[in-house]
Amino acid sequence: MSETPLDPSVLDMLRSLTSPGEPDVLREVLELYQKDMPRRLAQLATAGETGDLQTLERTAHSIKGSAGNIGARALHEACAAVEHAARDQALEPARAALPRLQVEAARVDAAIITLLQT
Amino acid sequence: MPGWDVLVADDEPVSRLLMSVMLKRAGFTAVHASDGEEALAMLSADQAPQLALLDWMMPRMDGIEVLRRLRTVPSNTPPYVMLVTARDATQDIVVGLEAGANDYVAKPVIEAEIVARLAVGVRVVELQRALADRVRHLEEALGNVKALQRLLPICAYCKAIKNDEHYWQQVEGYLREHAGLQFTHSYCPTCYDRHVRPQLEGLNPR
Repeated sequence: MSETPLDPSVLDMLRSLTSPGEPDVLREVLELYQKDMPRRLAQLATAGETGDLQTLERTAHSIKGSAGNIGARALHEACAAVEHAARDQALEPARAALPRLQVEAARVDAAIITLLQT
Repeated sequence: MPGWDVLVADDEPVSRLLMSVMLKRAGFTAVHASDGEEALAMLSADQAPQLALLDWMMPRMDGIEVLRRLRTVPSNTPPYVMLVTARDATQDIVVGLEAGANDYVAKPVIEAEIVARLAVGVRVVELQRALADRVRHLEEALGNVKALQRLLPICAYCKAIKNDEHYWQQVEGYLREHAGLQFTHSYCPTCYDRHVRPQLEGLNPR
């Protein structure tokens, strides 16, 4: 497990996308990610409780996409585990993979808060 | 690429934002759809974007279904569509291309790659447009040739032609309109002797 939840090379890539006179792309991306995450995490938890495999698969896939975009590798992997289990109709493994996803999401959130403060 | 709209169809807002930023930096204009049905409607509209980045897994209609429906509609200038998705297994690439995708890129997207691939799309769309224009011109020309292939009523004396509106028209005018022929007026030796010389002699009486 890497000690940094966000891959520095991806963050550098996002920084490099800012054109002169335009808003800071890294900041915009991280803020958008944070704004959208609580809703999706709640969706995921509910789908886990009710055994809604389709929502589990779709929501995990969606979070995985965001995680990939900000270089959150561990979260990306945790999402893939939930997504693949749900796609294979394996409810219990999908449920069992949820806590790791939530832990990684919390680590990413903390890292983003630190980044945005600086 | 100033003047080129690109549809970015993705339900995930961070991906939409990132792709839009990359497109804008390359001079494209990004227009957005957040599900498959919206994407299909935008690609089917008049003045639809000719380039599209289409996510595979979207609510209401996935990218594959959008492509299948889009490709059932015949068009001389079909949009250039790239599937953009985290799915990167060989089997998925085959499914995507067979459904009608022009190209395929894996998420997370890389700026240099997506811009280079879109430039290929621009070349393909420009080529299609040029071919469609050429076909249209040839069809117009063929229509004129067909008009000339039927029996034309022509006056046995003055050689006027009865045109489609049943008016008697000078042969030069008729051919100019139907075949684009240009004429320059002159006279043949026989007509010179028969018509022109007597007139000239009439002007200069001995």
